[in-house]
Amino acid sequence: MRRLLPLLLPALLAQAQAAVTRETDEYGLQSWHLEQGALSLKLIQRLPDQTRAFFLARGFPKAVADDIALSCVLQTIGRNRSTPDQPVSLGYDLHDWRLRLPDGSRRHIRFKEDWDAAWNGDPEIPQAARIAFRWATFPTTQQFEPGGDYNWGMTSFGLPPGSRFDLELQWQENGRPQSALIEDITCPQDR
Amino acid sequence: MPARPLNPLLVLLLTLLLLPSAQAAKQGMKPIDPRIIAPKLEMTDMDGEARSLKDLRGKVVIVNFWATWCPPCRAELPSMNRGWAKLDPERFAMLAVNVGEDEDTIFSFMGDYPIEFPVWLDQSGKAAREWPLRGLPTTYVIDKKGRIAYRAIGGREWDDEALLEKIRALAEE
Repeated sequence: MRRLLPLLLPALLAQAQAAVTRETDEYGLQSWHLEQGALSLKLIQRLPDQTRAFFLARGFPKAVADDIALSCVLQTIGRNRSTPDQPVSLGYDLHDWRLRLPDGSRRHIRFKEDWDAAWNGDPEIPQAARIAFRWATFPTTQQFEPGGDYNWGMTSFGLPPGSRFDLELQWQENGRPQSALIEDITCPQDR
Repeated sequence: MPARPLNPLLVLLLTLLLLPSAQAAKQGMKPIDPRIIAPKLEMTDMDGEARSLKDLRGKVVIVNFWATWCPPCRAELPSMNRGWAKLDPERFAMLAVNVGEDEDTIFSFMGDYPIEFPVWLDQSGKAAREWPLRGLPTTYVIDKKGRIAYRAIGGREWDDEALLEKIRALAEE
């Protein structure tokens, strides 16, 4: 047992603390998957062309679709990993998250409400397009209950293609604050 | 060499390591306690007929908010069809409330993804704003008195007997 402990403890600690998996798929798109406590969070690069095509198909004018597509959009999938047997209520607010840039500065992500406010009163953006944007983007605040609650959506990090940053995350589990860091996230190139 | 009894600490450590993967398959719904009266749901169906959730009072109603462009919504549709086939339509109703799209878009989508239960159209997104909804898909189970009994955020396997049992139990209340 004494010989096994040094082997098992790092694995246990890694599980209790942050475990970030990085992958690059066959198309060269990178993803970052954090599993810590009850939270599973996956960020996947979306090529600007993918995002542009999605919003053009929903009725956005080209200039606006371009603007969104070039703002470092990552597909975001959040999940509560806990089960009804050992329930953990998980909540987050994207206002608590920070991007840490290579020059040391820190900033917020670009919230869906910011985009919506920027388009306020713009007659060129049809209602159907606004509705699709509202529901296709990752919710700004959310409560995930045990038993399989998850959500997904696009998150705009508001940086030019190719930018790099670290993401400081905060969330609550049964009301207790949790935090983690995902290092060296890269915004997708416009290729 | 004689077999040695397993060290309890080692067993505990190994159990802790294996726990999350063993639990990953379980799914459930959030019970809403106390139950709250569901907001209004008044819109047209795919045939242009006016529909209201109020008219289904007395039945247990599964209300699923979705959109054609939402991958997890598409993923759960087949299991919703299978779940619906297991329920008695005299006592239950299942609704697919599409958020923000028109009949043509939904009609062509249903060529590839058949939906075996009524589709209602929240074309203006009004219901999606008035219900306590954060993302798609989200499903609510409404009891016979029109109150929200359960909520599930994200897709589920709706033909899972564990989920259906909870839904059927509401009809017995």
